[in-house]
Amino acid sequence: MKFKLCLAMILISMVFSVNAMGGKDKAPEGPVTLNWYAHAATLSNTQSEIVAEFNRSYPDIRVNVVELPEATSDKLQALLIALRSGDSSIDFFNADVTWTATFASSGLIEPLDEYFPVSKRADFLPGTIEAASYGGKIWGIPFRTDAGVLYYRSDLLKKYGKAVPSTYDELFKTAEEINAKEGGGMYALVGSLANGEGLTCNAVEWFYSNGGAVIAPNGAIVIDSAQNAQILEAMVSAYQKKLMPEGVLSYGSGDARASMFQGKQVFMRAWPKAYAMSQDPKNSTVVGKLGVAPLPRGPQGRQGISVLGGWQLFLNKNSRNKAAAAKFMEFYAGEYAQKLHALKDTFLPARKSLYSDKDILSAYPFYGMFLDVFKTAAPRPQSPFYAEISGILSTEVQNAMKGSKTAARALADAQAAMEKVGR
Amino acid sequence: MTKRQFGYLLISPTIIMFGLFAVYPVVRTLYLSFFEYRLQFGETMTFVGLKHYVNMLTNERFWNAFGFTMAFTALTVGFEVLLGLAFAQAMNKDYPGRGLLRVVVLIPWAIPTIVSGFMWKFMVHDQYGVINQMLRSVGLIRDYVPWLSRDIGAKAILILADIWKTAPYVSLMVLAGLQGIPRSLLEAADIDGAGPIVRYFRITLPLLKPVLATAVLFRLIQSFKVYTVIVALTNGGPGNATESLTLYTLRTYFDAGNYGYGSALASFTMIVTCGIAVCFLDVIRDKVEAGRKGRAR
Repeated sequence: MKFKLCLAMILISMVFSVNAMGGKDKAPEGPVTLNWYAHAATLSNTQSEIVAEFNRSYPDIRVNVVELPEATSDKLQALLIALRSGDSSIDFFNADVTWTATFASSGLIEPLDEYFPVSKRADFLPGTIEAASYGGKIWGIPFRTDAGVLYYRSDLLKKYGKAVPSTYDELFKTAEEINAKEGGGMYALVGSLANGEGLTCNAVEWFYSNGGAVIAPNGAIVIDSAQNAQILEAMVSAYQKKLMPEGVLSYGSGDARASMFQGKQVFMRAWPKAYAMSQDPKNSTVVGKLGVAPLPRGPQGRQGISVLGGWQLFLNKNSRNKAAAAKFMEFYAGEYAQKLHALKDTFLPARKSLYSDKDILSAYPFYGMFLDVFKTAAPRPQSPFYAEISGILSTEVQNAMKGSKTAARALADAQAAMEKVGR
Repeated sequence: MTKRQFGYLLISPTIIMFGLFAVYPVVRTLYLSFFEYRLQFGETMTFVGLKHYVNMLTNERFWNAFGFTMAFTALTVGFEVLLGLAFAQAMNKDYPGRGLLRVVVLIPWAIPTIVSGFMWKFMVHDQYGVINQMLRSVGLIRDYVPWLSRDIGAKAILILADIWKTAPYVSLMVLAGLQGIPRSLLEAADIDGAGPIVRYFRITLPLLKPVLATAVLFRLIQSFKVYTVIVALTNGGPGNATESLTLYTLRTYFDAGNYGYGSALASFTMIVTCGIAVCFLDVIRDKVEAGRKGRAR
């Protein structure tokens, strides 16, 4: 008898739990808790402030911030391990601009066309939308962008009556002249050129700024081109003439900044966040001596082109609270949240209108130039196999820089290697 | 239940744990290495037989990584053994300050690899590295050398950094071995007229063999799987000059999401390390048995 009762109870509870699981996609009644896998809190804890503001309009949607690891590649690993196991406890998460094709083709995330239709995208910078799109669908809502820029020593340029260079030739000539007059010991250009993603960003900017490309819109690999070879040769010869620090092939972005901040550089290619750091007298000798400008172009380019960095929100395919999650995602990509991040953390907003926002411009006047930079900024090559493409690119560019191959040979090898990726 | 069955019952948790956490992952990795299985293709797995192994063995990048890993392993372990033997002798003698020496020698071993890697990166920096300053002040170089931007330089610094860090470990193992050698043996040889060199090569070194073999085995396997120091110092650069097998495997498996080919690389590394281990297990077991026989006689 007891046994039968037990069995009955187990069966009843199973029926109920199956029922509970059945309503997967329907917005649940009553309060829901969303898990947002996000960056670690910034110093000013802006994320919690945004969640609190969101709860004033949506008191029934609790947002629980789960912090991801610091490094982007560690974030990717942590997310992939959880998502591939079918974990539904992640509702939505911060994703790098380069992840779109990979996640979209893996089937781990939900397309957002329903929640983020074309009508809602007008205020976003076109580059951020392009980076969130893959295969004719949109997969991410951008909330933060980034673009490579040129830092220059405004004091030295002024002292010797030089204009901010608009081509790489001008840049190297200007720097050589200034270095000679300053008594030597300075380098023309520095960037994050250690083998890795930083180098990929730099090299892709060289290619784009000389009219070249890496992957054509139809998906064909086009890295082995005359434009790319020309600009790469120019960079190799600049490196070999010691117009860049000799150790630059092992420099991460911190090493590059250190060289600039110690007054050893006339120019530096870096992300905008370096500006705030450069103005801290504790680790910079160039406070008040730096200007920020768009990148120069190569001889065949029409203008300097920055690659886009930045972050967007992806929605887990297995989330049980998609509608509620979409509400918060939209809010986090909205004006209020992006403005707060710009003011408190100097993040670059993904929304055009914020670059003419009075509060932001009075706090950071150089934000004004970014609308021009973003007019031409482009995503890195878009491929589901992005990590492999980027690895090949940075390795072959280093092979050319260190002189173990000609620039043309390195690009031909990169072309051959990239064509094999995914097969 | 017999005594024997009860014995098996008692060790069963260990065996189950071992199976779950050691055997299963290994078998699964081997299994995956025969499939095309990628992040980008969702959960679809296609059997491709030995395709990944053929690709691997015809891939220049693989041979480059394998060659560097072999050279790195041979050089680091070779120097570490020589230095370890020398340090251990110095630490074994009785003199004032010996305790201090023992502590000082161990400091590099106590520093986490990632930290010592970054430390070396600062020391060899092309603009403000202390090693460049020292070499220039004694007149060995005229201009600062960008060590990590050159193939040979980057390889040499990695090997140096690893030797610096791990020689203390070998010396500690050898020291333990030295302390296990009965003084009476050395004294008897001394009385029979054997000089210090003969004593070292005829008595000390042969008696150190089991402990040395263990140390070398551990070091060979660790060195063959080198990863952390490379990530801190060169991240595989310049170009692919310092990409080790493990770095290549992790980049393929985790960064690129190429689980099939990544598993083939991991399986290859595992087969090599198992091969090393099997060679040495013989040496170690022979010694143990020889020791037993010696005592029995």
